[in-house]
Amino acid sequence: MKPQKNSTKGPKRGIVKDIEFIILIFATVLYNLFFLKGVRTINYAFINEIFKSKLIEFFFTKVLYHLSPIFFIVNNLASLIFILLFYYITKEIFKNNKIAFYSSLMVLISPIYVFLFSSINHFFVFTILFLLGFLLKLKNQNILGSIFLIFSSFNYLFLILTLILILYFDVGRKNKSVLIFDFAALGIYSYYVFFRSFFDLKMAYYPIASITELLFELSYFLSVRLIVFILSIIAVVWLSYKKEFRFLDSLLLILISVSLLFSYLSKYSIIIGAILLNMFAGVGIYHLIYNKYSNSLFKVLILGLLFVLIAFPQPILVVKNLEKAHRFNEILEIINENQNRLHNLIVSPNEVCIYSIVGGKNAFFSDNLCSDFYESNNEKIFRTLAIKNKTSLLNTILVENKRTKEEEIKKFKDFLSITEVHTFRSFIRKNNIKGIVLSSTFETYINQKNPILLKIIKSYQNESNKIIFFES
Amino acid sequence: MNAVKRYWFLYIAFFLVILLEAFVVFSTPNLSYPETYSNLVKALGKEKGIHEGFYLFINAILFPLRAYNVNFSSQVMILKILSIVLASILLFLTYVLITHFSDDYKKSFFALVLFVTSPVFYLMTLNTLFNETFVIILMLATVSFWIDSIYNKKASLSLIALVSLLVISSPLSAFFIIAIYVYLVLHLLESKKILNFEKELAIYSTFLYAAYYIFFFKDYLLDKNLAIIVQEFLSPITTAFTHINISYIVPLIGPTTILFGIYALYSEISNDEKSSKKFYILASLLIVSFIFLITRLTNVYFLLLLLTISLSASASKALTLINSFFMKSRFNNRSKNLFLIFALLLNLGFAVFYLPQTIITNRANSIPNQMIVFLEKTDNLSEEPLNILSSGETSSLIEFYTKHSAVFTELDKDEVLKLKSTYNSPLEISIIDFLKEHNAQCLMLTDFERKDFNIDTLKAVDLEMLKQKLNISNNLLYCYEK
Repeated sequence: MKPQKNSTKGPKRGIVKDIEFIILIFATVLYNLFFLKGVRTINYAFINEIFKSKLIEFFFTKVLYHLSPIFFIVNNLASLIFILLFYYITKEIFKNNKIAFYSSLMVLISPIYVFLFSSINHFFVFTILFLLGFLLKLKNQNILGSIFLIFSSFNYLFLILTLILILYFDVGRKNKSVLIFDFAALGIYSYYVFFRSFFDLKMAYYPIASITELLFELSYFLSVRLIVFILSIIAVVWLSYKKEFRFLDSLLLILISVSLLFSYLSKYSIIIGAILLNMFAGVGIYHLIYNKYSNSLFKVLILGLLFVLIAFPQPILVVKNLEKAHRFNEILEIINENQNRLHNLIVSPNEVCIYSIVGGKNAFFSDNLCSDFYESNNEKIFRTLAIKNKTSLLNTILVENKRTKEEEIKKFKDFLSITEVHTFRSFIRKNNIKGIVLSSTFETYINQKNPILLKIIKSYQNESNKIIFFES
Repeated sequence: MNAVKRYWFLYIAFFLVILLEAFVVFSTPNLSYPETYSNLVKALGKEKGIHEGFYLFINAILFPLRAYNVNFSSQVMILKILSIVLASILLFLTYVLITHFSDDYKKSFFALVLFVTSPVFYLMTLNTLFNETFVIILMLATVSFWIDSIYNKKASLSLIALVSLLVISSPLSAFFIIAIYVYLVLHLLESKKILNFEKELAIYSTFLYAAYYIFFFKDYLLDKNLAIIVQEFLSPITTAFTHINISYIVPLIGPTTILFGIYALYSEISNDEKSSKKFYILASLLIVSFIFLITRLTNVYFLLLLLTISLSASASKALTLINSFFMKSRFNNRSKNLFLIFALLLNLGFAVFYLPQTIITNRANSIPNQMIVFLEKTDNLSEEPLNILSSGETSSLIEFYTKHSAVFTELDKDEVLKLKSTYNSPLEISIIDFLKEHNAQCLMLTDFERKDFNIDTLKAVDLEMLKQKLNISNNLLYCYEK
């Protein structure tokens, strides 16, 4: 028996000569500088979550308010590491530089990338740990790989993915000590995570992902995009048709399908699946580009349509999220400038969540669905274990939220319909309102709906302050 | 010149068929299905179907006429001629498809006669104008170019152009794209060789469909088709069969077409030799039509027409089998001819018996004659456009064919309901006040309104105060003067 060589297709090249690699780094840095910087926000759905869990607090406590440059640097570095890890894993699996390059580009422009690295959330840390563990396992660094994988398993999904990888890489080995080490470490870690800190047991109650949003919503952060699905299907069919579908590819498919299944329980579970799906998308693009076409017109048309399908959603993603980030940053500025904030101010319903969570004060119009995690009813749901009870409880919460939301909308409409000064005064007195947070978007909105109301509000304004206080 | 001499009877037959088409079309006073009207209303862009090629096509034809205020009957005349043209194109394309499957022109001619004697052909083309007919015409053209390309092992320019046109013209083209995939899967199952251009055709049409409908007309697709797909797929399949009745399908297609077609298909499948690629295309189209029939994604007539075309195409193959059968047996040539004539007569008999029934009953059930009278006399009504209050069903006709405008469209269902409840309530609300409230000068009273609003018993006194603008057979249009 001859010893098998670790061979890659084509001539061997060093990192410096790896042109795709260098282009990728440049692309990532430029993308981060020109786009990701603009849409950087704090994802308020996660803020409560982060401060609640001791494990996550360790990563994030001091980054939030005062150290925003560090937040920026951390995010950029993490995104670069993420892309490099992804590139090397794809290269290791498919043994092809070009496929790795196309896959990494697809990940770079995917909405998941924006979701992970433009806001504060804990997912990117664990995703990077998971990818690092996966890469080390592929490179035969078993113990080190296991450690990173085990540290990444902070919820049920990651735990199962870790188990699958450990079973795949370590069970067949003669040396059983690695396997024993894996299970011992995993046992200790998961005991701490799941039974001592009660960290992610409520994962099952996040809202589930809907197919329409996943496939067709162009500006949605967690969408996978239809073209990625189509390209992956093309890749899988193509690989199996040419009989190049290997065991490692089926491992990838298993990981993706587990992640997709879990997204029925929690929409954030889609992240890993969506990232790994881009590997197959890269294979699909590679095959479409280097296929021998029977008709050159077909080649032009197919590649042109491919470009349209990949590039067209990007401007929509940019425009919608820039708007959102602009609104968010303005309200953040207002909060930072005015230290003497008060309870019960009027804030635009779109900005209530940021104001009440980051500013720490209640607003006149409230929104129960600020967080995705249904904070107030956690205890109740936590105690019931049967899935039927959980879903029925969740439904009651949603119905309750809908009802309160309708009440809030009615309140807001009443406010917008005011056209006289004395009714405005009685409205303020009756509801004990102290002032209004008038951001530029809110101002234009009121101006469109009811310009007289804006004049009344402006009559209270002393300086060019964005928070206007009504004197009692 | 030689070919003209050789196929002289074909030209005469085509001419006769077109004469028959014209007879059927012009003997009907209007295009009779209500669906026709609703399709035409879509052409105006009242609903979201505006981008569908067929509606754009009709709009392009009717736009100059409407710009010069051409009256109702002329517009209908144009549509009638259009329906004959479409039917002729369909007939020609069916003949082209049949020639791909038959050995000589006599057999193709026989199969074509089978197709012509099926009532569903008249229902889909002459009696009505469906968007689906337009799609089928494009689909048939694409299939025939596809078969041509199989010989050359390379996609022709016309094939690419036709596929693009098909995809852009209607979301229903998903039918054809799925059929391509079924075709590829059938090849994989039988381990036959897939040609390169067939894979490219599948990928190209999918990409085009995704780019065109999912990005540019996303709302339209999500509103209608995807929701229907999800709902219908989840509903129990057994309930889907209730609206398909064998006793309804057989006369619509024709018994001989069904028997011959299925016989040829069966012998092709049971044949030990590997069947040709052409039959795979036919089979995949039939499989997808069956799936669509179960999930109720399209019009039943669309599928029946497709079924008829495919069965007549394979029926031409059946003739060869019947020939060889008669050669082997002790019957002579004359008895074979008698058998074939009997088969044709059977089909024709069903058609003659069934066609007038469907057409005439549908004509009776269509929009009331009063409405047609109104539309024809509309020019004499007034010089200025009037605001007319009517129910949802008739308002689309007013909007489409006249310069007058309807207060409620089909989309204002809530408003129409409110109007109904106002009419039917015991409280005496003056009709004139109601008209003023909605800024309308006239009230339309066809059978639709009379049935819904119970108007005769409640507001008879009120109506006397309004002036009758149009009083032909029934009291149709009442207006007040300021």
